[in-house]
Amino acid sequence: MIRRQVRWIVITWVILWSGFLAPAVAQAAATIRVAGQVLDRDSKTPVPFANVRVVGTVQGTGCDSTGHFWLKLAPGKYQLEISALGYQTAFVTLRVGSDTPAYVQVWLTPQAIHYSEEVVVFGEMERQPEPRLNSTEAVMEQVEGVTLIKRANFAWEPSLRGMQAAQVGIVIDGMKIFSACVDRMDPVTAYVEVENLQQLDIRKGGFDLTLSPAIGGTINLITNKPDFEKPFSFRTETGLETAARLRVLRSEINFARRSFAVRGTFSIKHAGDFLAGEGRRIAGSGYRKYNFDISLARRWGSRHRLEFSLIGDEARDIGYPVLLMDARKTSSRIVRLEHFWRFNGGWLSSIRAKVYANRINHWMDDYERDVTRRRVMPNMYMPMFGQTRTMGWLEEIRFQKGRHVLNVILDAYRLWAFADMQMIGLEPGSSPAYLVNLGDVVDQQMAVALDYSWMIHSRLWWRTNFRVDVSRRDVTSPYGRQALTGFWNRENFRRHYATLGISTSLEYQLDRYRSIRLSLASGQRMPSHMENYGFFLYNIVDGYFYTGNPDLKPEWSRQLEVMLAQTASRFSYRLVGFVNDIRNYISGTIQSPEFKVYTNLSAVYLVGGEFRGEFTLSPSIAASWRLAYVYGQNRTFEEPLPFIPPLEGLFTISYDHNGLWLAVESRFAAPQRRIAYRTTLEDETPGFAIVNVRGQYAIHPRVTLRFGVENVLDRYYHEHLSVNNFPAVGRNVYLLVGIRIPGK
Amino acid sequence: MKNIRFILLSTLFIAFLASCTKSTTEVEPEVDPTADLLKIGEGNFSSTTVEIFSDGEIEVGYQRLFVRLKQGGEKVVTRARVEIFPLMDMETMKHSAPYENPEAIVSENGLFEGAVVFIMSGKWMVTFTLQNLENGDSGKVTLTLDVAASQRVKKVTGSDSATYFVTLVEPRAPRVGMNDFEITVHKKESMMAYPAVTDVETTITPTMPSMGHGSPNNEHPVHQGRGHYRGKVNFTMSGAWRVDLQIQRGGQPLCEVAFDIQVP
Repeated sequence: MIRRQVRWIVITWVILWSGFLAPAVAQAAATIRVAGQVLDRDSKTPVPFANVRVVGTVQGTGCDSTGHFWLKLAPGKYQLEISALGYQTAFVTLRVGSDTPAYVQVWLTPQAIHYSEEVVVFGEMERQPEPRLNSTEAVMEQVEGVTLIKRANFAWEPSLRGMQAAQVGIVIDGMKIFSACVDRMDPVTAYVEVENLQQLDIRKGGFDLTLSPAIGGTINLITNKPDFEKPFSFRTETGLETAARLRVLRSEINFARRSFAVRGTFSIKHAGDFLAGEGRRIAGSGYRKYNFDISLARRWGSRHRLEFSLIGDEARDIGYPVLLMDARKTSSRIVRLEHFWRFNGGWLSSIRAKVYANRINHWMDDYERDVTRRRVMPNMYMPMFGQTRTMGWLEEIRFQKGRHVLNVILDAYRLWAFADMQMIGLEPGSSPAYLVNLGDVVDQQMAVALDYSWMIHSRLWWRTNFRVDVSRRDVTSPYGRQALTGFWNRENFRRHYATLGISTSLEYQLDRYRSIRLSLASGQRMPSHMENYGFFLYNIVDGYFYTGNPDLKPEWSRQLEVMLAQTASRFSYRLVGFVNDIRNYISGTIQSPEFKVYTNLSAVYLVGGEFRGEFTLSPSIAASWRLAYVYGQNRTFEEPLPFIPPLEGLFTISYDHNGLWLAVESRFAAPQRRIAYRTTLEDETPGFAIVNVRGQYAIHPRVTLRFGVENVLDRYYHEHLSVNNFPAVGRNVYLLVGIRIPGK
Repeated sequence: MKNIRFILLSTLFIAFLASCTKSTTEVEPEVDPTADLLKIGEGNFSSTTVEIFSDGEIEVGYQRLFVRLKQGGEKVVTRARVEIFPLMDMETMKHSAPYENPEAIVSENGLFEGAVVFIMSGKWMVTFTLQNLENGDSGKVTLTLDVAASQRVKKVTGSDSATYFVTLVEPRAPRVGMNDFEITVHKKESMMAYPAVTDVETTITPTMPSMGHGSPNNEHPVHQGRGHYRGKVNFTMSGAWRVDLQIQRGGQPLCEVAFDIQVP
């Protein structure tokens, strides 16, 4: 068993390293020349005559009719601003070595904002606004190191490098937002539909501390903003997916007049029971979902911009066949007001301030289940309700002077969470029961983060992050406190936490194409409000009721990451290895039959790696290969860590020519036989491989068809992180028709 | 490291902390010890007046009774001997009930606390035999009490064929979470003698019968004196609970009773 897994790893690594050791393919150049091409992200066609400007200098150039440009630059680090009529302006960070002819590909997004997220890519950012995929989950699933926890055919929760739940920070435009369901049915990623997702910003590991102190990493869902450059645009797409008889309709509209812009989107999804592989229908797995986003923007020249946005999401009758209950209704509202202020000249570069508020309501019940035959708590209905309300303030102040960049982030929020549960017995005359899972828990947090980077030398670059978080939290309802006295002999449940995170990273340009980076981090992760104060949280995996522990210490993680990357026009890759050693790891330990309590375990560690390779085989054919592996061990119990994805990968070959795009991808995972049996009750998961075929064709400047077949061979399988062996979707044929006005 | 964190905590959270550092100095006022009690009767002997209080409506169960003597109707007597004797006259027969006399003959606040376990509802005559130790006077006061029904006393025949009365003392106001759990155990030796049972072991099992589950972290009641057994019971949620109580003597089962408790 172990030997077979080792063989997997060895074969993979040999292949990867042979690629790395192969001689670089591009031509040498006598001068320090930067060449590049600007492409349309949707159609993958060149964008002609785009403007390229080197930020902070007078240098610039224009693209030719094939989208190509070149510049001559002195060694150093630059930011390029690429703009074209009808496209969102892009910013690309470029490092030019003393003898490096850099090649950059710049993808411009036709829709959306003009200069919204001015992100300078220091570490790595997964720019994944892949308009060819059908959902936010599908976009996340393409990223190596991201594995989705699936509880239903709906709202999958991302885990990063084997870390999950409160170890991973999920934010929307940097805003904190917390799931309302105590059974984690509503991950935050469910609230941003793919048409609102401008960019998926994934920061793996605890190295980037600017958005959250999470030790597993942070996922920032960057939403689309109103576009000042589109006086009027309208896009709509409708289609069908066969596996769940999913019908989808999504529309987007943008108006702009001088310094005002408005954008609105709306989407409807209706899904029935889906077919898993081999034609097996999974009863009670349908859902209905509605999402809208309204945003308004006003600008004053290029220096000030004010934005307001409201995202709403409503879902009804979501079937969770492998859990005890179905979600009956979910409702969320996310409001944001943001001011961006850009300064010209001087050290102070920009100030971005946000105030936000969000509210999530989540109802679930088991009214449609045969509860008489249920093993846990039979013969009763158990409607449950959960609510979170979060409001916060986020301020990012950016200083820039020569080769030094400093971001100062002030981050404060207040979370209020409540959850309760009724138990209504079916026996005549039986009396109902009631409990509170989260008794008006209030968590007030404040943080200061510093993100400093310095180009020490033309080939050496240093970045460091520092973050302090403080929290004051309590159970404010007397009923909630009383219930906890059954587990904790105390009157006062108030807690204060203070945590410290620090990371540092050195990157060195080895030669003209390859660079190496070493990163170190030490960070702490506060317990979540559920880990501190949750009450009677049923865990379907091990069958225990979990109780929060107000005495928990923060998890303390020390991490190391080594990255080797090559960027060339024909072959690019990135190879990453990491180690994550965690003290005070939070896990459930048995307190009495049926009950577990969250406890700090002395030590666990995770080791793993990721690979991404991209090959351009010809102007129209490209291939990419993504692989990820994590090994997690609990040293306290000497057993594997639970919910660790096996070796998994994605191999894609795509063809793109004359408005026709076709891709064949194979997604595969090795078996996972390293399972936890003491901290929880996992079972082994066999490996699988599936094949997907996707396509897109512009039949008219205004009309585009998207089509594909997922799981072509109709395999019946489940993934290791699918709760209770929830089966994956079987063969799924989809066809969507998109219309845009004006046309391309 | 810890110091740094402490400094940061205090500087960053000063506003938060400031809001919760209210300092108040309260002077405890002199309180009437009978303020929360219910006066259930009065009488007098010689120059001493007698007031009798309970801590709630009189019903079947363990009932605390408080006696206050006043000399000349004014001065509270702090040294007295009080004996209680309950009797139920059912015409065809008479019987008493378990009771506890005040243990002390000195009471600073003038209240002498005893108790009666009313084992059935109906009219009870409770006789207080009183001795004012400050002036040597003595006398008797008898109250007739209407005792309401309740489920707090269980009459059970033990494996030794004797009759036992098991009474739920606490929780009187059950609530979600951890509750004190207290019972008394008395044996019926004759119609007039119900001595406390002090040599048994007890175990409790709380369950929600309609839900089919129990709760963790309960503490089995342990003898505290005078037939009182005290432990802890954890009611994890609101609803109808049943606490099953097994009583053993020397490891051998003696009897079992169950109390139904509604948790609001």
